[in-house]
Amino acid sequence: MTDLLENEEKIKDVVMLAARILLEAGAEGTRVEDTMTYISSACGYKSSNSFVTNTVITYLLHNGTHPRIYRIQTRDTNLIRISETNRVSRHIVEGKITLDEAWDKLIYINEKIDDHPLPFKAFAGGMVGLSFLYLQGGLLIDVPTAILAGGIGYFITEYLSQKIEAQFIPEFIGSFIIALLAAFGHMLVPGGELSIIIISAVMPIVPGVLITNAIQDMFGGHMLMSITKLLEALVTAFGIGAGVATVLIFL
Amino acid sequence: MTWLLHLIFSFTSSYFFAVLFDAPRRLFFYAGVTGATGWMFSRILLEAFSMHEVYATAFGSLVLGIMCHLMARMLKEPATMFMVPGIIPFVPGGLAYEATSLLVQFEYSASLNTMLEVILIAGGVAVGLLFADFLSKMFIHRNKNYADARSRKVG
Repeated sequence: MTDLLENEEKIKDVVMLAARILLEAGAEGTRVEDTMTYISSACGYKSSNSFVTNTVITYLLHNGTHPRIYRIQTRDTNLIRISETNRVSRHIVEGKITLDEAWDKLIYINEKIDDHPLPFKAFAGGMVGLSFLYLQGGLLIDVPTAILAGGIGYFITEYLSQKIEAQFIPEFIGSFIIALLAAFGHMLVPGGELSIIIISAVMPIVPGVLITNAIQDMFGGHMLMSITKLLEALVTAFGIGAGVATVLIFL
Repeated sequence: MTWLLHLIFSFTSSYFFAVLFDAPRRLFFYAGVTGATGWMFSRILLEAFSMHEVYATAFGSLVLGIMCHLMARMLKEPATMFMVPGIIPFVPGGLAYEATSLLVQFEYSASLNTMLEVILIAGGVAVGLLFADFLSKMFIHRNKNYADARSRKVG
């Protein structure tokens, strides 16, 4: 009897940790709930129940035990963690690893796997700015401005959102600085198009993941999650718009 | 030449977006390929067939979504890995910028018109992804576990 109970607690631990990693890495709600259902039914509990929004996980293994709740504090986007957790859950379902091994792997994913280094991501932000300058129909003389504004703006936004826990402020300051840099570059190298520089440099901080996930959750029948994600995306987009507009007023 | 440059830059935009969203290093290239496929398809519809931007975006994101599910099947990764970097070029950032810029100049009606177009294009992206999801559930991912989990049997 005690063995059975211990086993149940182990299953709950693994399921809750997997769900927590997925949600904190910015996965969509349908994926999180499906993963929880897969793992528990692979362990023999076919009637488990879970309810997930982007701030809380609720989970019940079967009707005779204690439920578990976990409050999600911080969320960002990290596709590596989603991919690795997905692999662990697939291996559990296929019976390739035991629950203890899965627990160790999840702990490793949660604590050891990090983001790419920030300078590398800032470089990528600059390259994104360059790509969008072409895709939006910009001019060749605006290339340095777009790369610099995109890279520096992304760096500042990421740095601020790691330092302070606020929703609106990092995007506001980041896009404010992007618009300032773009206007300054436009002044130094006249002849280009200011609006296209700003659009392409702002692209790295656009809440793309949130929008995509909100759409997918809406079609997955996960209405609450989709509304909350849309709201989060709206706040971010409003921050970007307000930051750019602050500069535009003075031009 | 224009087509080649479009191919290159749509590839790099998706590639570097995969970096920004911390995708695993081995998937950068595939994310780039997926994004470039969707974008090139919508460009061809837009310019060679002179379709309206809303329809071109919807069909482009349909092709992108199907490509994502095929890649997910091939590489055994979640489809989100490819969808998130690939969808960004379709986001109507330019129009949204224009709407905001008109709004702060107090041109309310012009701003509202632009905003409606933004909503229509975003809806096009959503519809494309929806049909891609539907097609992949019908033909690509026939997951038995999923059917078991969602069956109505009690116990």
